[in-house]
Amino acid sequence: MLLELLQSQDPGALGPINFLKHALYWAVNQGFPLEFLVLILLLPLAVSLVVLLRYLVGIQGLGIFTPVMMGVIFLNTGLIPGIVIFLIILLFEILAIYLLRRFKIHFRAKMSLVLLMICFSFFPLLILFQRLNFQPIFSSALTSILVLILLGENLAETQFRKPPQKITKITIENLILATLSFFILSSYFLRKMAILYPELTILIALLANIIVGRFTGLRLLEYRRFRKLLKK
Amino acid sequence: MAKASSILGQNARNHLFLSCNKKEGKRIANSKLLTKKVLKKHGLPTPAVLAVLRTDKKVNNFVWEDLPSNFVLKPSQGYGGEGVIIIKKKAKWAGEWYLMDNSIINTQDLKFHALEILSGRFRLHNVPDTAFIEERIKIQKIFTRYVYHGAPDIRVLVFNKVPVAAMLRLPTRESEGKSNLHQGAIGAGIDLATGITTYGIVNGQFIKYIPETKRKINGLKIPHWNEILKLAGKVQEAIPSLGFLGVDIILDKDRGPMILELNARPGLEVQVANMAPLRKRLERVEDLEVKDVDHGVKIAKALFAERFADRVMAEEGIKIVNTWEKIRLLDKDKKRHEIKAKIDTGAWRTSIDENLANDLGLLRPENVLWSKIYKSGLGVQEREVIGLNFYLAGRKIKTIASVAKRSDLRAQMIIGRRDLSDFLVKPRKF
Repeated sequence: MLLELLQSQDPGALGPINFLKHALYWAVNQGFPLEFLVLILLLPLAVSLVVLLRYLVGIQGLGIFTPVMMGVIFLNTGLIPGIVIFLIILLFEILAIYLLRRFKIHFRAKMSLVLLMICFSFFPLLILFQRLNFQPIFSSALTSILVLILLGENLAETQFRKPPQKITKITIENLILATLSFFILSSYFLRKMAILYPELTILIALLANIIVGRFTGLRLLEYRRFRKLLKK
Repeated sequence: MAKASSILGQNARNHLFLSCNKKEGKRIANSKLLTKKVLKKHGLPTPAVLAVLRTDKKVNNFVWEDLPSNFVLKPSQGYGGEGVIIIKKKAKWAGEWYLMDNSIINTQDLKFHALEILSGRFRLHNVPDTAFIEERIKIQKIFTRYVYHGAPDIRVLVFNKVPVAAMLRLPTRESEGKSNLHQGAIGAGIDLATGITTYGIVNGQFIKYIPETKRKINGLKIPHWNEILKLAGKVQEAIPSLGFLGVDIILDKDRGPMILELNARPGLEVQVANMAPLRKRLERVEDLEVKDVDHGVKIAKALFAERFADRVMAEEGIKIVNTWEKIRLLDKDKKRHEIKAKIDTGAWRTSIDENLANDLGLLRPENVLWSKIYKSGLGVQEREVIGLNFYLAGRKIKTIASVAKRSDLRAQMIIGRRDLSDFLVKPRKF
């Protein structure tokens, strides 16, 4: 459908405001999948949103890479199954960390053991996944799930370092950011915009980052943090 | 009520003020060993290092039993107090020690922990690090009644050689003897002028009493207060590449204030502990020309003194003043001089005549805080701002005043709103 939309458009003569559109036509005609081209245009938007939320609201998660990566993975697995699988991985990770806490071996070796335990926990979990009818997801999003397991390392590392309240906060924030990135990457409206006005998409991301990058006011969550100061 | 724009948030801190910290300064502050080296070179006191463990071989050959009965094992580049092990005393058997919570740790555990430090477990991005063993400071008697265990320290934020805020950090059971707020230690705001604690917070919540010892948090007078502020200023003088930093100072029983470590990225909780927004303070001192450390301390005391006004008001009630009041000014020898001053709610800062100030000896260079170009009803002029003490309606006011040529005006001195917060002004006589 998007392809038809693109082909129904006339790009006009090549100029400074439609060069990306011409590039899109060329790439599609050369046989590059449109899906890939759209995602490459929307990825900066997803990253910009994560940055925006960090500096304006104060939702930090685990930086940029982990949440956006999770958003990309959810694109493959579907949102709900993706979150379910992620939460299950998380649960086993916490369990593994709890078991390994007092075990005195080097840090990286410990992390590796955590991943090993998660991988093994997948065998009993297959029963659960079978009940949930997840088998098709596992064949269509094979590598994505493997990456999801590996992303667990980032979370596990914070779990070894930070107090529990902080980890809950980071995990929830991370899930929020991942879900939002998923919505950006999968939104039909934004996809249409990326195809019809690719230059505008890039310009929005550009401006958002520059404006937010200069913002020195309080973040939304900081109003809560300093509420007693503000009330005084 | 504090305005949002006067609070220092993460964005403003990172963007506006951390840029004052240059690469070299950050390198020094991030390594505790390098910090000690630099401070020592400048003759500033820091706790002694008993041993430095740089390689696995050194760790394996190290004889832990030769150490004194208490010590601290630290990563050189750890952050937020992580990876620090505090040894309380020797246990019954050789090669065993008590930790702060009275659990036992042995040579094997220490060795393993040291190797973990070397592998970079407690450092950002897990790059290899150095471990070191530091002497444990004997804390001052005044604190022993307050803390459950561990050594409290004082965090002083310094910007442009002026101490802008300070906080006493008291370890708790939860923080395991460490004084990092993130680990659950108590932070207590300190009035810069007097060194007396004001408010207390733990995990972001206000508290009145220390949970373990049931002591009141406010009203504790920190000993050696002047020395502490000066020491913090001297650190910045020694390391000018750190423009905005937190200096952690610990008070040794015999040797007085010593610098524990530096922080090139100080936390923001100090604002809550002091109930004082920081951004305005930083902007206030940003372009002042501060001559030396003493000058910086003087400015801080004059500008950021806590007003214990609410308490005074509760005790004595609100005083009423007329538009013309007889006040008693203190000259340089603390002698009182009675003059008539005008209460001027149209002015923010108190202002005093140049000749009068000169006669009282208040224009000595030590008493001048800074000078600035002012635009006022009297035209554009350069005015000095001085420290000033006077009694108004029986109440002592310690403040700052700008110096102006007022000899041909009716009032030799006007008192501005800044100093009138405890008073009601009666606009005319009946």
